[in-house]
Amino acid sequence: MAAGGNVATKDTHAHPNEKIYIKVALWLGAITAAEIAISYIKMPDPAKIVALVFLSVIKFAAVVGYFMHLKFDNPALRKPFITGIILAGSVYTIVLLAFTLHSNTPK
Amino acid sequence: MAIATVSRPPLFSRPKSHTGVWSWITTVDHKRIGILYGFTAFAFFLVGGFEALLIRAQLARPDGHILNANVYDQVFTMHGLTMIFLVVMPLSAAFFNYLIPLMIGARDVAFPRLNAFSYWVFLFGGLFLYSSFLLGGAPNGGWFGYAPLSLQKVTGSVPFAHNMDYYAIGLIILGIASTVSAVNLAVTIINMRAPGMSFFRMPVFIWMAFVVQLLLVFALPVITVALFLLLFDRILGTSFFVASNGGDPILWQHLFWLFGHPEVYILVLPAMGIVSEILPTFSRKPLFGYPVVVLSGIAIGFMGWGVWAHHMFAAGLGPVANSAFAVSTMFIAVPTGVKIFNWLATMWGGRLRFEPPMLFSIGFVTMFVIGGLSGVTHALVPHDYQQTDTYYVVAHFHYVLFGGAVFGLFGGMYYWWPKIFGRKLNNKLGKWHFWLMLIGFNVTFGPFHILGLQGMPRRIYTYAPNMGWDFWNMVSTIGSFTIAASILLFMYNAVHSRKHGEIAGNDPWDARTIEWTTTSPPPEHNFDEIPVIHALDDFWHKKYVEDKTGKLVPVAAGGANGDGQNSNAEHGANAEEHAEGHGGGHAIHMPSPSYMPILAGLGLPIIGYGLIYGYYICILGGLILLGGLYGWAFEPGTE
Amino acid sequence: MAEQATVAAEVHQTSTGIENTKLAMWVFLGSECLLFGALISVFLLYRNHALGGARLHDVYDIPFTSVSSFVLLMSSLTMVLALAAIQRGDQHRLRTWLLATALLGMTFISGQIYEFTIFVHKGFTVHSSVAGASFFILTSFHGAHVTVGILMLLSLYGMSARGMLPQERSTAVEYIGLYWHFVDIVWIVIFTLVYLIPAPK
Repeated sequence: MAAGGNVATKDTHAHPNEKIYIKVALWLGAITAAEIAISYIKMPDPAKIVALVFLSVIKFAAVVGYFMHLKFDNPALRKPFITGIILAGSVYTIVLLAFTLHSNTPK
Repeated sequence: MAIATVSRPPLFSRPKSHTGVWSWITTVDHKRIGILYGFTAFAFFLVGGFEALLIRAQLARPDGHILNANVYDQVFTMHGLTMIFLVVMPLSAAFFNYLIPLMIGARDVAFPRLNAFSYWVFLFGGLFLYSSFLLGGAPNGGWFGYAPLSLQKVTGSVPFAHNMDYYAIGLIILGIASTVSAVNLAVTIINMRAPGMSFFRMPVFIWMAFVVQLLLVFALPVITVALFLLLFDRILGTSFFVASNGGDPILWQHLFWLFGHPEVYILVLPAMGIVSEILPTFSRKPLFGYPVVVLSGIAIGFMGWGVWAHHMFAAGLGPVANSAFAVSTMFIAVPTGVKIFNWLATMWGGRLRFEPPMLFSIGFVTMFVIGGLSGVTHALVPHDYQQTDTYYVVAHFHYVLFGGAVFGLFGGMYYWWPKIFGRKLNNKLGKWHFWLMLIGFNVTFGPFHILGLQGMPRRIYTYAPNMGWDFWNMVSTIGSFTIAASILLFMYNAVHSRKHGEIAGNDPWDARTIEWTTTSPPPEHNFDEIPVIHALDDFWHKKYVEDKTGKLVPVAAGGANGDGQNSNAEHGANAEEHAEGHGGGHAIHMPSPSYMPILAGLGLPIIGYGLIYGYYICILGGLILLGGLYGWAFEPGTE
Repeated sequence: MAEQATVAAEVHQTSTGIENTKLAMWVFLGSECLLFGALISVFLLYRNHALGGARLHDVYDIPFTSVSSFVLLMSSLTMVLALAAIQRGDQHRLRTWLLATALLGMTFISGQIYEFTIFVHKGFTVHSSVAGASFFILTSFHGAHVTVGILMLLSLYGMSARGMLPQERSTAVEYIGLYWHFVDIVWIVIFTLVYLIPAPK
């Protein structure tokens, strides 16, 4: 954060141009197709889950980084969002673990 | 130096007045909004206090006949909901709203109309909640609303009672107010600090406020989901929390306490911030270990997310979960303890002045320590098996929330009253208030430790005569009426000081932070020129320097008690996108008043009533909300 | 000093250099992660609690939902093209892409409604089991968010058509775009965790 004077807001980023956006969109489409294919392929469940989650994380990051521009914006802008993701991921994982690891309720 | 607020053209749609009721209804000035929060919260404090007196009257003797079980359930539930959501949180909001811009050197918050909206939605949410008393009965499942009791729709002889519908919908509405406000204030603190005010030159109060806004922003969505699930179980017939139909009541507890634990830090951190401002001023010493106090506050905010299941030790989560949360709970005592030591060290060796703000702050520290100690005993799971659901827990949370948060908030009231209203509250009456309240408080809640360990359960509307609980219950009730007397004293003081209070200059306490550079009360635009900050406690350093022996020596010229003009004023943080703020000589355009916040806010309780009484009413509420929002979006921030 | 073709006409200074509304939007989106995280977790917890009745993987149609998901994904592209258009002053293209985004959003919603009708017909409803309830609550909250987004997009379209959305106000498109993309990435998560990962035994 600026310890000195205030900073005028400005377009600080190098703008991706429309060609990049279309390229990202094509990749997103391709990855989605791959995900759907994987969901049909017979493979052990853990492997499938890992693969699908991994691919969806890439899509997530691509939309956040390019379309939502976070890759090119002031890094401070990442903090509230990443905090939300990490917090949500952590606490809800713990809750689900609490239900699955030891629970008195019938499954 | 000419400072003019823009006179708006006589448009039909935009309010203009600065005086009268309409000016309060359309205000977007953070100071007025803070005052509105404060008065409304205090009114709810009296209501919640009255509910407490009813509880104590009922429990003074065994086999009490003052309230039957049905009414008792409503009274104690509403007491909890009121004190938490309609008193402590909005009182904190009052201080946040009034002080944040002034303490960071801004003219207003980031989104003034959104600020007003938050207040009106809070007011309407509180009124919605209370309207339930007239419309079939108030929430009666405890403030924590445990399922499956909260799903109950039969109360007494009423076949479909809406009590807990009001609970779910009321809290959703209040949650919207708080979420919106939290985003607003978080952005304000991050983005609108005066030049030179880096994060580590911010007052501790601002740091604590910042942590609280982040806690609110991340915790409120969780309870929002829980409340919607509860609502759908009740009005749509789903079974999220119904064990016999595939659901699980424990899910409610997880979701509720995921919010509920950060919530208790939301309740106490503001008071900790207040105390961190008052103690240095009345010790004439800087806060001991500022960075450590700040980092402890941040640590509490983080760690508060890892302890929620300590409210569920007896719920059957199993030894692994219980152990993990016991350990995390013990760890969180550390940053809190650190702060206590820092506060003590601040006072140590200082030239102490025991005026009411200081008394309440010391009261905070001592009472909070007691509450904290009982809290530590809860962290030990086997102890908690004994203590949970007994009056021992009731003792714990009243010590930290009343002895802690409320005492701290009263300290803040005495401290900033002269800044807000231009006159001090009477010192002598203040001391009487403090001592009467301290004694009354301890007489009320001290015995709860004993009663709890003697096995008296919580949430019971009466008890049998041969349990051995009679004596301490009676003592407690006497204490509660003592508290009430002390509050009456405070109210008399407040009214009396309007005409007879000592008129306050800018800096009646010889304080350290920059809100004391403004007039009392400050002008609408806060600062004639936005200050430039060179250090922590910048104002103090402008007033005093230390000589070679470490003695404080007043700075010769221009610094102390002035009208706050700094010579190096620069363009400063602005209130809204469209407002211009320039240093002296130029017109300062403050955001214009607006009808839209209250109009949009009105839509929400109407939607709420519609969910209970008929979905067509929701449409009406939705149209009002949309109309208000569109009107808001299309009117300029400043005209 | 501040230049900008894209920021409001009056210079607006903040401690971080980030615009207030942009920061507010990201803080809000951070909080929405907790909201959708809770709803997704409830679904994951209850997806097998069908008490013998229909479960999602008994009734779903992956190819259909895939097309829906692709539609929403592409709406993020059209959204960002709309932003690029207003940033270079092209009002006509702005409206084209805004409308495209809104239409793709409406297509997605229509697809959802159609899907849900099939599910209900097959006995997978809000009331058939808590598994059903969890699914419908999650997707309905998401759908409500999409709908609000569509309303905002159409409002922007209308503003542009009336000349009320000049280049200097491109941030309005940017911030609503952020909201729209967020709604899209929530669906990315939902599509994977709800539809694609293997059905519980």
